[in-house]
Amino acid sequence: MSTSSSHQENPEPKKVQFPLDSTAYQILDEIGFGVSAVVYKAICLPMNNTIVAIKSIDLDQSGADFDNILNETRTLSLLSHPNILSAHCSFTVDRHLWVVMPFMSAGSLQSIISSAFPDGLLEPCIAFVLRETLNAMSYLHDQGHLHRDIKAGNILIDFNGSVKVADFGVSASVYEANLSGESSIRLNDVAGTPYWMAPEVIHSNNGYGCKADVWSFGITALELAHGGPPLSNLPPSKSLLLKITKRFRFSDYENHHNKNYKSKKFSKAFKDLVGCCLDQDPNKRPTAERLLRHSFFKNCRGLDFLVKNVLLGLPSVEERFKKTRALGELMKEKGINSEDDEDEEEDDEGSSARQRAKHRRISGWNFNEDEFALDPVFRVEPQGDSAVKMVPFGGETIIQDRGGIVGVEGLLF
Amino acid sequence: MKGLFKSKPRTPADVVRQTRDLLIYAQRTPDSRESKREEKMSELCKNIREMKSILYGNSESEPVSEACAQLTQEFFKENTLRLLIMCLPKLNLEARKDATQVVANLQRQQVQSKLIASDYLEANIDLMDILIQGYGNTDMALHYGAMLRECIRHQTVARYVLESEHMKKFFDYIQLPNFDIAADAAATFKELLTRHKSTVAEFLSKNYDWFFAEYNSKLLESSNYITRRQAVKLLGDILLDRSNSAVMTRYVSSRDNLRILMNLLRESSKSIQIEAFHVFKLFAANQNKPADIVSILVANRSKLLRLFADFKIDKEDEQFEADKAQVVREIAALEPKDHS
Repeated sequence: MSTSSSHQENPEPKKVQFPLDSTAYQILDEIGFGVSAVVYKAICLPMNNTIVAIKSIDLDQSGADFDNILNETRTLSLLSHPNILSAHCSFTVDRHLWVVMPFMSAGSLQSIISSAFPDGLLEPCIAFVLRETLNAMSYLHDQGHLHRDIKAGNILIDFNGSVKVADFGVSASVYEANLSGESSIRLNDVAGTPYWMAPEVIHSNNGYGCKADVWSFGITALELAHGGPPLSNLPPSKSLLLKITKRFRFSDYENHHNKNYKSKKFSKAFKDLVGCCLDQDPNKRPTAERLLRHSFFKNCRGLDFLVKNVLLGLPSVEERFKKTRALGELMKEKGINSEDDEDEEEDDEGSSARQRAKHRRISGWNFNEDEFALDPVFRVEPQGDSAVKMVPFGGETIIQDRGGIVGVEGLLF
Repeated sequence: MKGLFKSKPRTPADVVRQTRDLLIYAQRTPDSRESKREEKMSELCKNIREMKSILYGNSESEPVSEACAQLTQEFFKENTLRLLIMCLPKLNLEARKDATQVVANLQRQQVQSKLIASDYLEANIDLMDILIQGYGNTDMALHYGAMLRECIRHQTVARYVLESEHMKKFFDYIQLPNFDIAADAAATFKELLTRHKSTVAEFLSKNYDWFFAEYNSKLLESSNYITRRQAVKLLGDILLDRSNSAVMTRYVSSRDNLRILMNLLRESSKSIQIEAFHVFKLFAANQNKPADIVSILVANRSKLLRLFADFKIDKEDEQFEADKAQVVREIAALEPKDHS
């Protein structure tokens, strides 16, 4: 039950009941944090000091999400798949909800990349982790659930190379929406993290289906290949959701675009895989189940390859977390944060029409197979800012905090 | 061999009948030939999954209403639901979830524009006893709980549960240490007390005394943060519902209730404070305040006014501000009853 993915002989082994009492756990270190949650590394004393991760969610700070949290933890406790990080148990400690989970000692792929592979991973490693991710997605979709936030930060790795998808903080149940009368699957709440969001999610109205997870999966593939999702190479203040959807300076994009992605070579199969995930039309994107049969996953390497090529010599999750947090604080001191960004935008708003020519709204994305990147399709903005459609974005604060430094461990809401 | 002679496709009714036979088999105590049993159990799980995909469709096809109707009719023609509920603990996790979704879906299926599930449940209402007692069983609670919530969509079923002895147990279930189960029980409790307006109003008036005594002492004054927060929110939902106006009038005329709400108003948790305000405002807005309510409000006037002066919510909310202004006016204008 603890860390190794034990082989199950009995089809339904009795779930080991972890203690529902905070005194049974001893917190060792902080390994992640988010808007209203902190993730700890801890040991469970009565269970032979088994190492666990505890996500502590401040329920008092998560006002509107409260009911969601209740639903999510219930959903999570009924999921059982080797590639999904499930919870050992959850209970409340005063105003906090503690979700006790297996500790994934190598942390998230995002944190691995940013600390040791800034230019991306080797293709065979990517193939392995993507296949495991697809297994999880396929299971989830089959159960009628959406993940809604597939990205490297939510793909966790254990010391033995096993891969688990985590963070159902924003995941939703398709069945619930489906049963309310309509036959088509539609969820209109905007959720997820901007870089990874499918166009139909950003431009709302069309709802969020399984295929939006497939888009995010495609972006995640690019993230693993290049060391970051498309557009993340823009300066942080330019990379918020609103900048992506509403308008953004063409010149900025050109400046930063050409520096990156220069001479990396990727296989044809890989390019094809990403290409079909990033189809504008959700209906044309293959299902997760179908993607598993893609030629890119033929002769896929195993856990050991990942251990040897990625995990060996990696700094610990705790060390990485400390470094990232220090960096985050440094950035804050320098004033690179989202609030400044908003101010700047207001200045823009007031500025003259000559600026406006430079502001273009992206009307879509085209996947450029040769460059292995997303090219935005620009459209000259219609007159006046009011014509620009704003995405109704309830969780804007989530975005601001996630976009930057905090998605570190991916265990966050 | 089976592959050579492809059997003719099974109808939805066939799937139900086979499921039923296998459930009858599964219910019997296991005999010595375990291998055969394993095979049958896995066949059972496959059949349940098949029913699910008929009802919900799958990645290739949308559900067909004719097939759904056939399945529903066959399912309720005999005692399949009872068998399924009884056998649920013997199934593996995936089959339990499939079964739960099947049961959920069947509650909404109409056959010749009739909800036949409702008729079946009326005749087999004791099944609710099994489902509710599921909250006492860690392994089954979430499955039985989900089924239960679907069944109480039918008004007669909800009425049965409300009027049963089980209702008292919910006060304990929603405080179980296992958060998933407690949250599930709380969701069911809320559904029972909000879904069918007339039934709820009738239940609350008939059971006012014990229900609110329990509600106050076990939930609103619980030491558990989540319990208090959920309870005060639900109380607001109940009292603000037009159909419960008689109950509301009675609730806001009690000084004990006022005392409890004022304590909640003083909590350090913003969320609880806000929810408590939505109930407290009813005490203040009541145009026929009993003398003891007035005297409590007058005695605490300055404290209350100070509290409301600093009382803000993060988001702008015109309704909240308007309510607050009115409560402040009401309290400021109060005079002890004997003066008037």
